[in-house]
Amino acid sequence: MTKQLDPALDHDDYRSNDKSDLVRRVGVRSSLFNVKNKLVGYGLLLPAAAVFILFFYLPALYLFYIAFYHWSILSPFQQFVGLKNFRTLLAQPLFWRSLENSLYYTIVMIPAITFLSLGIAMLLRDGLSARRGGVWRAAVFLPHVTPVVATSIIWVWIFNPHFGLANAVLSALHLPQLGWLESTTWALPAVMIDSLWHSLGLYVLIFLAGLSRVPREIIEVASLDGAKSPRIFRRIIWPLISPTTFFVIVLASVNTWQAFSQIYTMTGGAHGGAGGPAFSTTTDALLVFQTAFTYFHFSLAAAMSLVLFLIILALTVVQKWISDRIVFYR
Amino acid sequence: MTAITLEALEKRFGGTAGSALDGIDLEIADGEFVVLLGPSGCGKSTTLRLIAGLETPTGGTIRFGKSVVNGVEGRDRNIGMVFQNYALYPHMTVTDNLCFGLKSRGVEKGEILKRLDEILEMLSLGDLAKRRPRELSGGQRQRVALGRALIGRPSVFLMDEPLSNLDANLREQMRMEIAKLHRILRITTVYVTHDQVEALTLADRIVVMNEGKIQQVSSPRRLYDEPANIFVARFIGAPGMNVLRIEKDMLIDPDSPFYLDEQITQSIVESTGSAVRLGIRPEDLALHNGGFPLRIRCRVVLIEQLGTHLQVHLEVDSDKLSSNIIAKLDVNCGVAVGDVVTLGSPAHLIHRFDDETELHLGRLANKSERIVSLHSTSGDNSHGVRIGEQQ
Ligand SMILES: Nc1ncnc2c1ncn2[C@@H]1O[C@H](COP(=O)(O)OP(=O)(O)OP(=O)(O)O)[C@@H](O)[C@H]1O
Ligand SMILES: [Mg+2]
Repeated sequence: MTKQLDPALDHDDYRSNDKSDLVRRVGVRSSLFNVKNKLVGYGLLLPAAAVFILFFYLPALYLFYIAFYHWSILSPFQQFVGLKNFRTLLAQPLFWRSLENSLYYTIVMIPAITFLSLGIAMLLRDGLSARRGGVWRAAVFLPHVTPVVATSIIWVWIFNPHFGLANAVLSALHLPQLGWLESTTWALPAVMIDSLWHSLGLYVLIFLAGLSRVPREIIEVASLDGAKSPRIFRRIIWPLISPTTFFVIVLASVNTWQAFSQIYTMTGGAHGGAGGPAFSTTTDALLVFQTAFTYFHFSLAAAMSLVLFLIILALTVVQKWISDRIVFYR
Repeated sequence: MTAITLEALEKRFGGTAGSALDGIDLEIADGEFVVLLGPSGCGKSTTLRLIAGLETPTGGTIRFGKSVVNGVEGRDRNIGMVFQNYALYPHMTVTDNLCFGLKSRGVEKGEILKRLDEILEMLSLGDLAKRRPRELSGGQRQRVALGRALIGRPSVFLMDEPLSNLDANLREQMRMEIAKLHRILRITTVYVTHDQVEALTLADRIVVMNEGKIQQVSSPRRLYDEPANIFVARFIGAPGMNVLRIEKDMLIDPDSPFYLDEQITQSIVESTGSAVRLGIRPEDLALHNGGFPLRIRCRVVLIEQLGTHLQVHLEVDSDKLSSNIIAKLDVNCGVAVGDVVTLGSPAHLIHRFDDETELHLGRLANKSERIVSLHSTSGDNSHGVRIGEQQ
């Protein structure tokens, strides 16, 4: 058959020619496009990277240097003192007290953050319609975008032992009134409540993203398989969101070990009383700040930061080690 | 084993106007294999999910046997379900996937192991028992999903497009496995697909749905031979039936592309309404060689070479109406794009539909009449409307 007599063949021929040509042209253009694209990408990164290098990474590296020197902001002469700063630090009861406070704060905060935000995320996912769900999500996330210092001042009023909302609620429930920020027992828990309120939205959002990756059919199959909600949660949802949970725990531990603004503000930082009463809210991060900027022991503060850094690093390594054994990655 | 009865079943999803299901009445016998077939969005999955108890109906009743199950939770309906994307538990091994349901229901250990062996054997999954889903091929995953649905000895087996993620060969193989499983187990099965071949090969009965309504319920054979209406006629078959609307005015038009013999002309004149619709399957059209009671003059637009035959797309050769026809013709018929040809079909292969209700009215002749009809028209074009031969 000649070409003319076989329209189907003719058609195919035409198409294939056209296609290979097209592929060639697109190929050339896309490689040029890639190079240009990369340059643009790095260009856009540059401002942010510059800020980070200048104000985060260089100072962080400089910290290692300061920690091994007797370093004074007023003196041009800095003396190498080896581990002396660390020895001083470990001999200080207040340093140990601050570690204790930080540990207490973290140990309460991490489970509280994890379980509360997961719980709220589950409620938002299951219990609410798509449209109203958006409103609730916004409501939960909103505290996170408010300035910590400003809202912490509001919380100071809420925790006022004489006319604050917290005690009003307790008395309405016929519970004993608490001293809150004026009590050595309840000051840190009061800070925890503020921190939870402020940070939960972020973790809820992360969990919502994690939950949305659990296919609906899997949960439906499990329910047809006879599993009730607790079993579905324990055996299906919990393992499937374990990467998200792990991420939340790491993020929460880093954030809580470094918690500063809300503690400083709520415990009277503006009046110089931060960390009180009686050092009951002096966490590691707060002590670093006070050592450096109230007492001007920069090298001691640097050594302390280094210890804080090592603790967080160790925690993360341990968490990673655990996660490699129990977290399920698809 | 359970019979399923759906009565005036209705489902409306909140917010949007219109309903996903609009009064479904269906009786599924104990042990029957019923296929729900229809275009995307017609409500197949919704029907299945209502039977499974994954959705709550907004109206009507669902019965398993004699008892109404509307208020019964899915997990208490004793159902096995297979989804299109397998929905295996990704963090569990094949064994754990299979046993999860039995463990949830507190079946004792010895029994679980016994049934596990049974299922692994039946679906030849023995070698894969320790693997996770991501270490399985698509076909193996689907076998695990089948096994997981069957290990609980369900009284109702539901499948929602279980094969559509598989490639053609595997699909055929799994289709046969499903047919075999049903022959052995005889579980009442509702199977959703939009693949006609699956429907025709697997079903005892096919339910054709469109826009939330049942169009026809019948055996595969009858669905093809006696479509209830134009929708079914066009939907069943690959490609579906050609349906031509012939207005009464055309009967006296000398330029009409249709030639209709006396008998057809008569029946059209007698029918109510201003037009009739005639349906002819692509495989029932042939190049005219004299003696067909209906002939259509049309122009070839596109030819698809399918190996066994040509699939020829044509356009009715007329200024007054534009109507497309598909015909399956012999590979050696020698037509080319642009040709004007005359196609015809014997009367017993031509379906009539009501112009307004679109319901099937029957065929122009039954099989025995065919001989008579061919006989009386052969070589005799003097009755009826004349059309110039083009070939
Ligand atoms: N959860 C839902 N919310 C709102 N509308 C829905 C929901 N599920 C289904 N629908 C609507 O109901 C109708 C029927 O959907 P259904 O999933 O039953 O179709 P289907 O026949 O299974 O289609 P497909 O072949 O594409 O799977 C569609 O119009 C769909 O948009
Ligand atoms: Mg569907």
